[in-house]
Amino acid sequence: MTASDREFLKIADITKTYGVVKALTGVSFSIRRGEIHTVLGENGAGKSTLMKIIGGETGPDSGEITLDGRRIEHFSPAAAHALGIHMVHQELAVFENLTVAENIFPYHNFKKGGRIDYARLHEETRNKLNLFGLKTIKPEETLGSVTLAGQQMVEILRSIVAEPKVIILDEPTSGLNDHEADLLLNILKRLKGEGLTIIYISHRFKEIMRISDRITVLRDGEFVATLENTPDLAESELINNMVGRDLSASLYQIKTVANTSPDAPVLLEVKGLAKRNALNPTDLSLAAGEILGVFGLEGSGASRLSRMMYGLEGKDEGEIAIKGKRFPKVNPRLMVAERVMYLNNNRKIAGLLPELPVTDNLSLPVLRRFSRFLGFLNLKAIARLATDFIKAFAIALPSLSTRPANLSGGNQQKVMLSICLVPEPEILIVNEPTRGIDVGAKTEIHKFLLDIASKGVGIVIFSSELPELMSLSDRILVMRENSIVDEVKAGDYTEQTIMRYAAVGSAEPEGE
Amino acid sequence: MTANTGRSLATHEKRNFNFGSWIILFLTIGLFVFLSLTRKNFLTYNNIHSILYEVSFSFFAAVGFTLLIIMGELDLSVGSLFGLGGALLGLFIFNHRLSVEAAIPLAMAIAAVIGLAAGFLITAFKLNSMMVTIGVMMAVKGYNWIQIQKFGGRQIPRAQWGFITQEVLGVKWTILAMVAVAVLFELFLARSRHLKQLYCIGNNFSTTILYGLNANLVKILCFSASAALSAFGGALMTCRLKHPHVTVGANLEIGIITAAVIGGASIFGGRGSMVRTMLGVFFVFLLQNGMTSYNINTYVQQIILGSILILAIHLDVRINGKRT
Repeated sequence: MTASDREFLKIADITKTYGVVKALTGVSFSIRRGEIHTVLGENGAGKSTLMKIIGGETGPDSGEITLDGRRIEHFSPAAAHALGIHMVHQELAVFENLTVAENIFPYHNFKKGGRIDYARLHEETRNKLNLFGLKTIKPEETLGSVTLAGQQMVEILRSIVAEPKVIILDEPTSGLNDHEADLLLNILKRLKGEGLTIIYISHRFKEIMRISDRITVLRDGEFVATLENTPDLAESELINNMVGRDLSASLYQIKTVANTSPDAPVLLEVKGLAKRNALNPTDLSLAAGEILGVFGLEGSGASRLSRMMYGLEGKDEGEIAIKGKRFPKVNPRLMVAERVMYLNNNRKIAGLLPELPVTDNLSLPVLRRFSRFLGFLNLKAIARLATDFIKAFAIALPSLSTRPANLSGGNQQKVMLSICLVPEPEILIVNEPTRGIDVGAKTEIHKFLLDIASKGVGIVIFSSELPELMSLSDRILVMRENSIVDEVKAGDYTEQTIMRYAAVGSAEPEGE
Repeated sequence: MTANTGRSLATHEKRNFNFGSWIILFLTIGLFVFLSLTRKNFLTYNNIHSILYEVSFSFFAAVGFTLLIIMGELDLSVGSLFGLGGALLGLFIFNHRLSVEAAIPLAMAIAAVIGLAAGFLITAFKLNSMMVTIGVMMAVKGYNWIQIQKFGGRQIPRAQWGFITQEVLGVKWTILAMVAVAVLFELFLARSRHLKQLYCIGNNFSTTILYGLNANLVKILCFSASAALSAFGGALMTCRLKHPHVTVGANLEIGIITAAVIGGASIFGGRGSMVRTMLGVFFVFLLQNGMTSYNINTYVQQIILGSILILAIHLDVRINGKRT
């Protein structure tokens, strides 16, 4: 193998920052010509950012990428396509209203006398479909009527017909069942045999071990290792690389003793909560003053569980009990009335009133408390309340009429947490409490959460940041494939065990 | 970290005077001065009073419209429901021999039910409010024409319409009612829990749901109120004309949306003011009055009003659209 084949796609010292968050720090590795190269890492490890850069959707802050010895100068999807790099997203980007053939050849390459030669278009499409063993899909049918797996295949086919050199597949099997995934993996192996270089992203260890030639692990935006997928490569080695942080030197201290007393009353019970294809029957209980962590990789059902617990998403079965009171159906209004609050995972979508003064934000869940005759609000009392919270949470704010849109991410997050605490909740459901904020604000928020719990509030934290969970939680529930697969108590925390549960579902290495 | 935290918090910070949101005031004053200087008969008590009298009826179609646009919803059925007020007034007075005191509340109640239904469809099935209310507009307009044709130009007896000409200190009572309603709503929008939450809903609907507000119910009630108040305005207007007529409320929604948007409301929601909407309606009528006094053809007037609406929406998107 020549040097240019070994360093076919060379990633050199790539750094990318979003605001205060370092998504990638000096990442360097190479991808060989004609290999299937998996990029592995926790949520937020920097995989998608790196793929976006290779796919031309965004440019790096520094560093360079060379393809076949030539430095990539411009980062745009069009430039990437011109170089022969195609990206297939996890979310389908297909035209459901057009036919299969039109989706595979969107630029109408087949023309006869200035008009589309449909006979040829369908013929070519049929050839491609047959090549992939997709005989059940007809070129003429509307894509919307094809199964999700079929649509996924069609999207990959669309990239293939452009005869790319490199194709990036972001979790292509996430929407597929085992049989369909199997079919796709076989196709990928065949494409590799034809000389295509494939960059593969997945959380499914079995698949990764089956098709990868090599595996690169990223962690916290940094390169960890590139491993040859030899028969001796053990899952545990991958997991250790994914999580192997030196926590003694970080801002986190792993909780070793649960702070909850055994006779603390149970505040919240989830019984048999389930939804078809989204969540298998799930139980959990939360005691007063307890911090319960829930960890799961993408697609594990963890964030869905949080939404279903608060009634933001419907369920098929199950009920929720709050301090012994049972509720077969819940919605946010009822939860707020029962003193349960929810910190949303994405402050840009919901959780703040970005264009209204901070006072309006903070008083939103408790407007009734401040309303007097004819609903007139006691604005002075609201200002006092807001001032108290701003001081307590050290929110940097020029004035009470400042709008959250003009604040930094950390301060926005603190405002959002304050909104949740204004109604004096007894139960707090917290979703990604420190996403996208700087280290200083992160530490502060952790301190606030521990503080609140010590006053008897029960907290459920959903986070994709394992060290954060291990430093805050008294117990951690691990989710995988829409179920809680294990519970780990403070004192037994190691990143390796928890990540193993989340990734492969069993604590002991399996001889597979 | 705590250096600029809490310490320097101004609790009663004066809101900066926002030129953009009060542009309507300058426009109205400018047009008013222009017409006063250039048209001999403009600046007379009778002329101004009669413009305000006209405005006072149409304003009632703008009240609910403003509440809804603050929440990011458009109600294009206000013109037809305005007309429905007149059609139902005729129906109840001519066919059911009701007095005007009973006929107007009944008409309002029926309109309220229509608004309730539209609001329910929009919120429960997440339908586009503009499209649903265009549907309501068409259907109600059809009904209005059928009814009003049946009346065949029949006049409402004086005993029934007489109340509309009542004056207080030389000013028609409907003008005073308009100002009172605008000021009251302005006050409630700024200070009361029930109406202040409209801005929250308009600013970020999902956030209000997350923190337990029943935002859909608020929307449904506002659609209902919008319909009822429109019908109220239309019924009063019909009393002034002394007979139901198909022109009552015709194309009114276009004037109202122009008025609300140049009055500082945003089609993206989260902004709007009742007093400024009132000024907006006044501005639109003033403009029509001025154009007529310059003998500008009514069809040309339509072209100008349409252009102003496009300009206002364009400015709204330029100023307020970026944040979405």
